[in-house]
Amino acid sequence: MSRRRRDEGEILSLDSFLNIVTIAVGGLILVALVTVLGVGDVSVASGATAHAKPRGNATRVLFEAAGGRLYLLDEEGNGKRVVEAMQRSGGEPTGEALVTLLREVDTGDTRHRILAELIPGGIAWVYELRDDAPGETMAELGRAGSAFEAALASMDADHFVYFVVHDDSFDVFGRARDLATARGVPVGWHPVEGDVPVRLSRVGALGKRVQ
Amino acid sequence: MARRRRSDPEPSLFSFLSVLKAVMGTLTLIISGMSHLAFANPQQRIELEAFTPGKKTAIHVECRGDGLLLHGEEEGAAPRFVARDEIGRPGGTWSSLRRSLELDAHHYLMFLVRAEGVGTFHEARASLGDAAIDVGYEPLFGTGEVKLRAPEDPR
Repeated sequence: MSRRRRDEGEILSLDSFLNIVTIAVGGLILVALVTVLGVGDVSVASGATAHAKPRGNATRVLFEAAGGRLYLLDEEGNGKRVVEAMQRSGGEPTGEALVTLLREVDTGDTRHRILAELIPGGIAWVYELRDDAPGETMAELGRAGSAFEAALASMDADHFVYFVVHDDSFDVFGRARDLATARGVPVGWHPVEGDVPVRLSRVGALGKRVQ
Repeated sequence: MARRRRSDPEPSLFSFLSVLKAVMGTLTLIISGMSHLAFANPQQRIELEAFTPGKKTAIHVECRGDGLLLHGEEEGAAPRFVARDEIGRPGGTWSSLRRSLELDAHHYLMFLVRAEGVGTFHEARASLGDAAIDVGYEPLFGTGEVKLRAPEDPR
């Protein structure tokens, strides 16, 4: 008998291994249920998004989301460039002269070319995005040292960010808005269809409300 | 020996183990597939605000490329579709809603704008004209369906 037992060897019990596998299957079933039922939900709170006026002395920082990239729209810097171009030309400071000058002389920064249009009640500034404008993709926005992060870091409670969002760049806008909101910077936005240039004027309603 | 075999049969667990392993593999595939699909097409879930007396309640209007989808105020209510070329039609669903909102101090319009529905959004806003209707708008990311859901009880 003793020789027979040695020949058969010890029988390995599979019960404990079976228990582990059964628990793992049960866990996977639960995970599958949760995945199927809820992982794709994106919550949008109703009522928290009504637009409101920013503080009276708040400074607006404009960004344009187009072609899957985010571009700073430098109103102050480009305003100075327009004034300098006007002074260099030596012409009369009239609306018509300004429209003609900006059509003939390329004025602006590396991102936008500035044009002007006469409208009832004043002048509309047209910001044409340049073909080779340097912008940041969705992946680049959140990286340390990105231009957008640097812009957000330089803002205090007296600033708000406003996005002009073209219909091909909702994703990059969503990422940028999340980053701004995480820093507590008030955000406003306006959707634009197609690749029409941004037009700004004193009488327009764009860029004056945040969420 | 014959008596021992009859009284103490030891069934093999290997076949059962194989079945379990196959189930595990299948579930892993399902989970990864569903996760991939869900993250690619996130389903929008709009948390309905709890009713507060004196505060306006949102009527959610989803702006799609082909028209507007008017979501009911209550969770689970069937949405009504308004084709894009019917937005400006007098007597249509959209016009009726606009007229009723002009006289309604308890509701406001919340546009949920999809990327392909920006043009529809601008048409709908323009159709409101100077009507005294409060309006908000919010982007919708992805292509999933919108679901309205009442907020969970914080207790």
